[in-house]
Amino acid sequence: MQIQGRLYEKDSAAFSDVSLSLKDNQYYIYDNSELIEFGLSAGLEFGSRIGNVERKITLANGCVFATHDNNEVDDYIKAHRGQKNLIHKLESKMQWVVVALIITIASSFSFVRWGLPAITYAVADALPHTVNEMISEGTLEFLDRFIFDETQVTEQQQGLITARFNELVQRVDSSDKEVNYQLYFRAWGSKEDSVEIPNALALPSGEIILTDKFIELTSSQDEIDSVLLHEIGHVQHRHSLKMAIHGAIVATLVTVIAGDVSGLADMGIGVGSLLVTTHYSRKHESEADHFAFTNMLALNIDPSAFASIMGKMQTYMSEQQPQTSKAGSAENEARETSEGSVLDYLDSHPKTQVRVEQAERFAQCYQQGLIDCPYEVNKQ
Amino acid sequence: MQDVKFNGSGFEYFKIWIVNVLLTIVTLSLYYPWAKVRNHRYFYANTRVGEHNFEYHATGKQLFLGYLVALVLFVIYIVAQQVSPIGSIVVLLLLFFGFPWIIWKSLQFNLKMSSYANVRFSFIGSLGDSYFNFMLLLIMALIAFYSIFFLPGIAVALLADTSMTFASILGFVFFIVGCALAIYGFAYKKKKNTEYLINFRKFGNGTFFTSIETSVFAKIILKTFLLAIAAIVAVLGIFLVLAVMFAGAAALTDLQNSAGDTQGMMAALAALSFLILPAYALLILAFLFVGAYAQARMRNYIYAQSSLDSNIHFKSALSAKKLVWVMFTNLLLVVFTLGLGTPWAKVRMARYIAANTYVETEVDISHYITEKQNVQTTLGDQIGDAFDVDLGVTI
Repeated sequence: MQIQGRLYEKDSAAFSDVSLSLKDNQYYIYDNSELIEFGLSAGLEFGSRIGNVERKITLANGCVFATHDNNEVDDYIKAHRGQKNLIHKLESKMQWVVVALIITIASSFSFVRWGLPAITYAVADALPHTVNEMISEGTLEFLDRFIFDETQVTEQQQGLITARFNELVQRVDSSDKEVNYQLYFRAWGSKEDSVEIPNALALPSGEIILTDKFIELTSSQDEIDSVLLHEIGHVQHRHSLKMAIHGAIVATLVTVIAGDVSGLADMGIGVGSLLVTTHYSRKHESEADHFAFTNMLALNIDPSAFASIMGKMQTYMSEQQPQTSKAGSAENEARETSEGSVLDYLDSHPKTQVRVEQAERFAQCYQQGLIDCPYEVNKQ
Repeated sequence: MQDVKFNGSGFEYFKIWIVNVLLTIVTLSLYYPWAKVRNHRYFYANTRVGEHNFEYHATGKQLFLGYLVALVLFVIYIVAQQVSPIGSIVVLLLLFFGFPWIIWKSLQFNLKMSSYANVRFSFIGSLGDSYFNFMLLLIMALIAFYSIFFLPGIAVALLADTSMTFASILGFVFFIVGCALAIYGFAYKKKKNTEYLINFRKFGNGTFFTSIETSVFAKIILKTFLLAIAAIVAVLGIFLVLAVMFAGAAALTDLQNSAGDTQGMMAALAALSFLILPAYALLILAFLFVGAYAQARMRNYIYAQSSLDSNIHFKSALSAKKLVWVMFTNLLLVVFTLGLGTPWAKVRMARYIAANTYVETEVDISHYITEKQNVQTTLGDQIGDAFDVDLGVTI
């Protein structure tokens, strides 16, 4: 077996064009038929193959034989050393490349779809509740300073709602007994500009905030209860903590993966992880809805109350929009269609319409006197 | 004049890359150091100058420990960031003080593990100089940067009682002075860093040399800065024109009227949402161009100033426009193939960079190398496991 190549002296650029002859136990290197090196084949150190780049064989004395004849070298190694270059085999056989491609795509997909939530949930559930309190620390103070104003709700009404809230907390099916639930009333937005925001928020520590406009829109205690239960659901499911952990894992992965990819891909991955995160947040809303519906059935409250308050909040918000925008109706229509298509992926909440329909399914169970409603909330 | 050539092919590299990705996934990332070695080996060995190519000699085993340490530190940092602000500051401080050491170690390791024509590179810079370059100068540059804000503040505070007009004129002058200081500060840091990275680099017995003028770097930074502002203004302008064309002027008045009112602002922005993606794409393109401009200009200048043993000179002829074209099409390729086009993107970039890099010699390069490097070197061979970060230290 004759292999053409170059022989470099140790750590030197000085080289001569030579041919290497590999026998069973011995090797011989000829420079124009003059024997210049020989020795035991066992003393040769073969570099591993990569693509079709120059292959290096290091002699015992440090000289380096370099050749482009990769196949000859591979044949020799296979025949005489019994070694197999597994990695190069994977890289060079088309069927293995296809298998690698399929496994890579399938595992990336499954990881994002199932692995990531599973890890997130396991970590979030294993952490003590004090972590939730650490995350929430200072949040309400911050919101009070920059977002909220003092409430206009009468103390009497506050007292009634708070008493009912405490009762609900006592009665719901609770796995996290350490949570110290607190209810707060705040005004959000200004009355003068008639842009008040009806909303309810839950901090991971168990602090729940109702805005004045929300209270104003409700017309029954059942409606307030349904939203309170939804917020308790967020706390019970530790959704904020899960978002934080999920974000941390995605950030870590993006950096580790993108560290190998060129910097350009980062931006593409950034968009991708945003889509994953908002999808995740919609799932959390559905979970909180489901928590609220099942508990309402157990507590004998009509889930249609949730549908009615959601409907009222949406009507109020859509009435707000024409007030601020003076555009014509045709343009409004165009906007709504584009909003439907582009913002669908970016929306952190499921469509109100879907949530209302789900509440009504549970309401049907309620009317039939069922406590276990066979209907599963769509977690998409 | 010798051309630099990159001989790799996208498909050949794709096969290496996909196996790397697969093995990295199934080993829960522990294979990563070996994957990195194969990547580096492929790109080094396919880069040829004259009749020789580069080579990367590190093994996955050597990189493994450093990788584990980096991974653990990174996870600690991420967790600390989410849970405890003080913890994350501690980790950042550790990183700040450790950074010059990491750079120094990586330079030594990476250059020692690189060779051209069977002759190894090496790095003989000192740890002290690394601290000077990557800590002291960094602090200095940051102080220069913050002077943009506090210099005008001082002017206004001192003179506000006497004359407001005079105070604002002086404040503006001080603002310009602050900007000049910041640009000069960063240019000086970049000059010193570049000289540290190149002047202590050896190729066998040969020594690299470079000499950078701070003013040239300062001009490049200033132009980059102005270009960035122009790019933002241009994107904003295009966004406004498109908004008027497609959504009508009313949408913009809404946006303007809603200033200071979050709810209204959200509604007005939602109406313009269909423009967000195109605007985002334009902004990416604009910033790619600004980045490409800075990269091309800096590299061209550094190469023009560098030599090896004063016999061999270097030349880089990157053009910002062509570079941004390669970057942008690569970005599209990677995004629209969900990452699978990455190998082709990397090969295209390597090919473009190599095709615009030249080595100029008075004598034949192989002749020079053989003459100069036929004596073997004994510069610190004993380098063990590495704490390796990617700095792009190769030529």
